[in-house]
This record gives sequence, C-alpha cells and structure tokens, in this order.
Amino acid sequence: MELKERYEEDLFLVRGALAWTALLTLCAGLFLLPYVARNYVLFTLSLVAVNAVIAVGLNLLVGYTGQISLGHAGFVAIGAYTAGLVMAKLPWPEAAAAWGLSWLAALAAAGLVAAIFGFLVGLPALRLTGPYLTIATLGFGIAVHQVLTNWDRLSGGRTGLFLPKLFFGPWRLEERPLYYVTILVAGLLIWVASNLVRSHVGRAFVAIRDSDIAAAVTGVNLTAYKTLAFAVSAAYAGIGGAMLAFILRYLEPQLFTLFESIYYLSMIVIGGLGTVPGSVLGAAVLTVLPQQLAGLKEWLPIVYGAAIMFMMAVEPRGLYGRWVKIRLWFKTWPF
Amino acid sequence: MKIMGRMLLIGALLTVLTSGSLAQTQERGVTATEVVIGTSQPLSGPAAFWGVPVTGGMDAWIKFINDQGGIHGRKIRLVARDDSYLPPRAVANVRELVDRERVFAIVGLLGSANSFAVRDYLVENQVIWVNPLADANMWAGFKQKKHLFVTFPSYLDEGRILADYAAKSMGVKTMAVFYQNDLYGQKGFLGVKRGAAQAKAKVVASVSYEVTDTDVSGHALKLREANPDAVILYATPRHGALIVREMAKIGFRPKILSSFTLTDPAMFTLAGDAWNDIILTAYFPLPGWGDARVEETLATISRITPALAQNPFNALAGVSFLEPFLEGMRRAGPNLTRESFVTAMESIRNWDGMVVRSISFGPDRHQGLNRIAIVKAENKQFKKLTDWISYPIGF
Repeated sequence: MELKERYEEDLFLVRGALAWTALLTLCAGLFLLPYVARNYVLFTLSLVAVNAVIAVGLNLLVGYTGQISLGHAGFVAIGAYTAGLVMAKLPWPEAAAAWGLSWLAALAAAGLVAAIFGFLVGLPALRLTGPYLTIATLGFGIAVHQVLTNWDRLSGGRTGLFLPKLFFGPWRLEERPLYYVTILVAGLLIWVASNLVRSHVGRAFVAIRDSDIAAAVTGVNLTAYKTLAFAVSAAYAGIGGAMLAFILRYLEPQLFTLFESIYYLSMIVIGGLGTVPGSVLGAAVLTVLPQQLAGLKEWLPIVYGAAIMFMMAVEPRGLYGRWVKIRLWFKTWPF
Repeated sequence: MKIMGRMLLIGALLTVLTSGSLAQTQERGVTATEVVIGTSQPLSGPAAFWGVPVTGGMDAWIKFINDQGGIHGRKIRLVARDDSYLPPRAVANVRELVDRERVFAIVGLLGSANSFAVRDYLVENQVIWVNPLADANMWAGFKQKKHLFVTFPSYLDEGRILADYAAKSMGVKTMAVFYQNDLYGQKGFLGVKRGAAQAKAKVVASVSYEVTDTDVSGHALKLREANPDAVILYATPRHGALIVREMAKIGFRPKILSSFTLTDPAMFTLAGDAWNDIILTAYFPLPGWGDARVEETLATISRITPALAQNPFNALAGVSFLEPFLEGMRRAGPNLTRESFVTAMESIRNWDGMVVRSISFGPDRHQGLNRIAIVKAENKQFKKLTDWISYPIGF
C-alpha cells in the first residue's frame, strides 16, 4: 500500500513508477502501431477513439450527473453534419484547406454547435427527471434523424453527404495520419474529462446525481450545472461525430438512429457508469466485438446480445468495476 | 495501477486485432490455389429478402464451380458481410473486405445508396468491382470506370420503359409512384416521370417511404386520394408486399407495375393473391420460359442449397451477378492480375452465360447489359409479354 503524505499527492492521475511505465509504453505502442499494423487495424482503432470520446461525454451526463439521454446519436449527428457542411459547403481557399484549416475549423464548429444544442436540450431537463427526461431526449434524437432525412438541401438526405479529402500540409489525412489525429483528440478529451470529474464541477455533477435537492441546499446551482452537463456531454458527442465524419468521409442519416443512442448507452453501462476509464473500455469492447464476430452473420445479434447479458450478469458494475476488484485482489494478496 | 490496467486491456485488444494479419501476396487476394472475393449484402433488416437468396445463389454457384476444380486451378472463396441495407455499414464492410480480408474483387454489392457510398473508396483503391447491384444509370458518364463492370439494369431506363408500356399498351392515363426515399427509388421515380412525359401520360402522385417504415397504411390512403389508373412500385419486397396488400384492403385496386427487383415468385407468399396480374420486368430468361440452361442452373443451386428453390428469381439473380466475374477469370488465364482481369473482361462480346445473356464489354464500354423485357405475374409464374427492349448504353 502506498502512503500519501500530502493532499497534492492524491491529485496525481498517474502515480508511481509502474503506472508511468505503463502509460509511456501505451503511448509508445499507440505511436509505433501504424508501422506494423494494417490500415484496417488503424481504422478500427480510430473508430474506438471516436466511440470512446462519445462514451466519455455520455458518461459525464448519465454516469456522473444522473441525467439519462436516449438521444445522444442526435448530438453525434449534429456534430458530424456540422463538420461535413463546414468542410463541403464553405468556400475554403485552397491554401487554407491544404493547411488543414478547414477540418480544424470543422472540428471546433462541431463541438460548439453540438454544445449549443446540448444546452437547449438541457433546459427541459431542469424540470424533467427519470422516464420523462428519457422520453424528451428520445424525441430529440428521433427529431434530428427525421430532419436530416427529409431536409435534403441541408443534409443531402438519403443520398448522403460526401466530405472532401483532408489535408495537413504535405500529409493527406487518411488511415495513418488520421489515426494519430483521432487518438490525440481522444487522449486530450479523456484527460480533460478525468480532471473535470475531480474538480468542483465534477463534484457538483455527482451531487446532482445523488440528490438534486440536497445539492441545491449545499449551494449547487442546478440550472447552471445541469445545462452545463448537457452542453459538455453534447460537445464531446459533437467532436466524436466530426471525427467519425473525417474517417468515413460520407454521412447518411441512418448512421444516427435510435439504435446508435442505445448502443452508446450500452457502452457506458458495460464499461462502468460514472467512470472515465470504464467508458473507454466499454467503447473499445462494443466497437471491436461486433466487428470480430461479423463472420457469424445472422447469428451475430444473438451472440452479441448474449455476450452483453453475460457481462452484465457477471459484473453489474461494468468492466471497470471488475478491474477494480482484480486490482484489489492483487493489492491485498495473499490475504 | 489504473493506467496499467487500461494498457493491458488495450494491449490484448491490439493482439486480437493484429492476429488476423496474413502474409502479402503478389496480387491482393490471389494465390496459386485461391481467389478471395467479397460482397456486402443486406442479410438482415428490411432488404434481407433480397440479400439472403442473392448471397445464397452466389455461394451455391461458387460451390458448384469449386467442386469442378475451380478456375485455372484456383478455388473461389466468397466473404459475405451483412450491412442490413445501411450505407454506413456497407462502407465499413468494404474497408474490412479490402483491407483485412484482402479480397481480389468486390462482387455484387447490393443497394444503390450503399454502392454510391462505397464508390469513392473502391475507385481510390483500384479495387475490381463487378456488378454493384445499383441503378446502372448512376455510372452514366463516370470517368473512373476502369475497374468497374456492370451487368445490372438501369432503374432510370426501366422506369421510363415501364411508364411507356403502361401508357401505350395498358391504356393508363394517370399514374402514381410508390418509391423508396433513396437513390434506388428516386432514380426509378425519375425514369417514370420521363417515360410518362414522353408518352403524354400524367404522374398524379408520388408517395415515398423510408426503409425504416413498418406501416404504409397512410401511404396507401394518399395513393387512393390521387386515384391514378396505375401505381408503379420502386420498393423493397417487404414494402412492395405491404403497400399492395394495404391498397387491396382499402378497396383501391389500380393497375400495378413494379421494378424487376420484385420479380420473384416468393412475392406471392408475402403479398398473397394481390400480387396476381402485376406487370414487372426481367433482364434474364426466367424459370418457366423453357430456357434449358436457366432451369439447369436453378436445379444445380437448389440441389446444393435446397432453400433457394423458395426464391428462384433472387437466387438466379445471385448467379447472374457472379457469372461475368467468373468469365473474366476464365479469360484472364492462369496469370491472374488486376490488369489481366480488366483486359479479359474488356474482350467479352455478345457472351451468353448460364443465366445472363448477350453481355458485351469493351475498352470504352463497362455497362455489359442494356435490355429488359416486360413480364406479367400469374400464379407464381411470370409470363413474358414483350420481346427484349434495349436502352442506350451510358458508360
């Protein structure tokens, strides 16, 4: 057992030589991977990074603040289409596009626009709780999907929206460079989230989750923090959506159905509600599992569903909960 | 420790992912004994009624060819992936097929919207693509067609021919279109509009549905309100059967025409007697027309996979999508490369397969088929009403 003597020591995200070695090995591994792995592996890991960002954002809302959202695909869609439209429809000068200004602007715009929508959806959340809030967010998700399907002029409708190629100086952003971009953005956002949940903001979120009346009594501004949770969560979803658009370079409303919202929710439930690493784990498992099982064809939904039920039955606190138990077992071994 | 755990799990994940790697060959997907081809099909979801028998037909025919020793000593292996008729999933599937399974060619990817979505990726990566099951008119004027070969009909021309037939041979003055809101339905609808305008008939209503819709009663009411002489369908089997039953239920019985995509006797199972007398099209000789090779092919694939006998048209269509690829392989000889394959395909002139007939390609022509015939549905059979009708070659 490690002994902490000062409060600051408890604040470090990474503690001890072993953890630092592990972190640096992970970074080096992720950095060197493109030199040994196939493009498809990079594509898959980029998708894991995208889903991790979305799942971390959703967990801030559901796991930490206790506000259920069944319309998260709507925020992802808003981010993706904002990025797509910024890149495809704005008249970017060639030099600006070549130096990556177009997609950098698209990434920022996606986060911002999604955050605004998150704030708006957060307003009814001030009065709605539990199943009522679930239905409200569900309606939002479906509405976004319907608008994108039917407003052809804006979204390209079911014909889809194609994104131009991404450049950054001499590099064409696809496969390997794009993998670095997604991993970097995901790493940064995960780091931000890890710090956010330990700050006074994160504690306010948790207080609201546990009891909003008690939180209000102790001085937490419910209006500010509930809408903030929605806005931050939506911004994460929007940035995830923008990166998804960069990877696929093709957007279509069917990417963002109710099913996707449930899929994001199951990521954080399986990974572990109210934990940042859990969201990443859940996103990784639920991205890779269906891909690896694709050969099962029509049996896929059954096997996939059974696997998820098994995981929940064995470990209701999620994959991260299981990890915490394993770690505890090793720490206290041989007792 | 926290981080350590994360790293271990991600490390394990990477091992799983990279373990699928295979040694590179001189030509992607080709070894001395095997050729790997891939396809993305709706094996679940609203269009599974197409995808399952089409893939089954392809699979059975490949087994038949492999049992005879393959082509130039190479067995063919088909890797089929399910996309549930969703374009984004088709994009992911195609990337997986090309990058991970390392297929030599994509054969018969189902869906106009899906094909459109994967087009750029396949062109950029110079992947051989034989038969996107998508409106052939989509490729008209398409410049980067070097690795693309199509024997799938054009919905635009089919819609035009159907509207023309309705106006001139069935006495239809007003028509309505029930179509799917994506590239498939939109192209068919556009064709009908053009055909109707040329034949001086009127399109009085157009009612579109979403692939995700499960109820079309409102659509049927809208069609009845417009009261057209004929309704033309560009729909999935599920939605086609639903709308026909729904119209019959509310006592609205116009003449009905439909794309060849619903020319399968199994539609009688889905739609019941309401499917009788519907006018459709066909692009190869259908079972029951007395064509010996088509009957023989159907018998062969039904022997290998008995369930295919339930969907004879879709299963034979599966064979028809694959046949030109196999002919290209035969002509390319033992030295199979992308270059030799393209040259071989471009040498095909007036070629008759077991199912598709009079296919021609050339250096400037990658649309191999440009004719359909009008047929009528009668008691699980399809009677040929016209001779083959040709339309212009677009690419």
